[in-house]
Amino acid sequence: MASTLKKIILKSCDGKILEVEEAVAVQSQMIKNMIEDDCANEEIPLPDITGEILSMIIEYCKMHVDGENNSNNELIARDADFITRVDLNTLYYLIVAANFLNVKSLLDLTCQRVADIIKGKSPEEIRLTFNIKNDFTPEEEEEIRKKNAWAFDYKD
Amino acid sequence: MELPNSKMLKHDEKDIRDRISGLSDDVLVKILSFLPSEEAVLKTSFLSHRWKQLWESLPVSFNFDGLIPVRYGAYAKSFENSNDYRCMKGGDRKREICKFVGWVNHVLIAHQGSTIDELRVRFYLDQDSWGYVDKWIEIAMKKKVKKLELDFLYFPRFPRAYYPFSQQCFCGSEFLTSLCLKHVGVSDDVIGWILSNCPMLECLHIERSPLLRDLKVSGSSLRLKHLHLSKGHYVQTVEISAPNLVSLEYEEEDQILHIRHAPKLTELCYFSRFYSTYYNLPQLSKYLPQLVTLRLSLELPLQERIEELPTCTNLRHLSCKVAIGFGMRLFTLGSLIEASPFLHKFTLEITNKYKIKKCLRKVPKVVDRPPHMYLKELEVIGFLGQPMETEFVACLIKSAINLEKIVIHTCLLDYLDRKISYSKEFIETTRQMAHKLAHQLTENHPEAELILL
Repeated sequence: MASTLKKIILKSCDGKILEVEEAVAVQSQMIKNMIEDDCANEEIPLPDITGEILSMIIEYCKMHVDGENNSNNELIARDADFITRVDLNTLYYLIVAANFLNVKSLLDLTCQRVADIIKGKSPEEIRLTFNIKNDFTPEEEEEIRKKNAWAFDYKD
Repeated sequence: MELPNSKMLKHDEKDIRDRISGLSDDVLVKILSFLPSEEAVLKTSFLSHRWKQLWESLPVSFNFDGLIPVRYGAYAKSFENSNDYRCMKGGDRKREICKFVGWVNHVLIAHQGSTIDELRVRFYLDQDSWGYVDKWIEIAMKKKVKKLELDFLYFPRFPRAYYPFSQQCFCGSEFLTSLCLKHVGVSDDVIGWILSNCPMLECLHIERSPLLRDLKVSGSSLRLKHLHLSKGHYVQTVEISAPNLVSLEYEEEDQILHIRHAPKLTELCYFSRFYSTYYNLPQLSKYLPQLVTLRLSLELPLQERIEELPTCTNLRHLSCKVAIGFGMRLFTLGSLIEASPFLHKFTLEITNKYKIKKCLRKVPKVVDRPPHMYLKELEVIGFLGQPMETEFVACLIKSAINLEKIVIHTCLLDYLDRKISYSKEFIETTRQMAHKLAHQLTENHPEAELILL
């Protein structure tokens, strides 16, 4: 098919130019919409996505296009392999990019990954893992406790 | 192409900024949606102001089910299934109840949002917990709950105490659309009160309430679409008058059912026993012409065909659960099928109280019945090759001239839906009988699809 050979040109925020087959690029709903509106003939600038993240995302989309005929289990295994190799910071940039480009399966995969990291951790461990600062004042914490005194007869 | 290796993936190891909190609300909500909401609320509500605010605008659904494995925060079950739980000693049981109640309390406290869409609580609870249940209901009502389900199972061999569902904590609500109460004490009056104070209520499910006597579900402005009433052992009469009622599931023993007004009723599920059925069936037959789906459970020795059945012009799906072993004939069902000219699917579910030793080896000769033009699907569950059922199925195969699909499950359930085990030989004969019937089917309907399970 002629259309699958058409290339889409993407430009990352750090100036990297990537040529992507249309069939791969349309995994992104945003780019798909642009193609449908005939706005994808020139290079598409992606202001918040670095070249490194962009190539990972293209990698991921390619994996899904190439693996279309594979069994569902195989794809799940590849997804798992892809995502477990990603560190937290990269994961964050992937989420932002997947959200911006609207690649639903990747957004699901990355969000699921964060949820898995949260799972089984105490609030304090979650704060440590994600560097979340507890910005409640002691007074605020006391206030929360007071408001709900009725349930604290049951101790942990 | 190879994936980038892990070394290359490290962006900046020393970067310790809190990036996750910087994600948009939509993305954070998506992340949280991959966690059970009970866990997500407990773990993340008080991480920081950012997270607290996030929860404030987020409607949630809570499912506190003490019978499925959970391990959140302080609440971790120490039993595998409800059977283990039943075997527990009093003190251990008490501890489990405390843990469960503590869990629900903590999550409901941690929840900062103004809306709880759904609240479901299922566990064995004792009298000491009732004060907390009051509080849970109160919170749910305050937070505009749409669906509320309480299922407080009881321990067998223990004195039964039912949580008294009262109007004190359950103030009326214009948000509630679905209410389900199982093993909860709810009286005739309280039901009446609920119906007149929850104008948006569309689903009402009441199961095993010992306080019901003469139940009235009626009101000219009721929005109620779905009603389920079952196992209220002390119920004597039920009266229904509901202008918007679409489906009714009714499973009682010996009560008198009056459907006074139900012009939109199209789905009826009627499971009942002996005596009341004699009284109830004739007056139910008034509604037969408007029904699209009918599920019946008959456990009565109906020997004869029902006289004067109205024509069920709308009936498309008919499903019957029949207990055999009473010498009962399936003729009644035959006449119901004949009275439903546009019936599309018929399901026969056979249950048995007794273990059967012998089964037929030959397909019996059947009498000719008038042809049925529209019946396309026939499903028989619990087929055993007994004379009565074989004759019935053979007869149907012959008369339903446009049959497209027949499914036969040869596994038998007893009246408590438990599987009965039979000898290999017996099962083999049963299967052979099913095959013989199948053969007859392919002869009469070469294009029909057959599934033997």
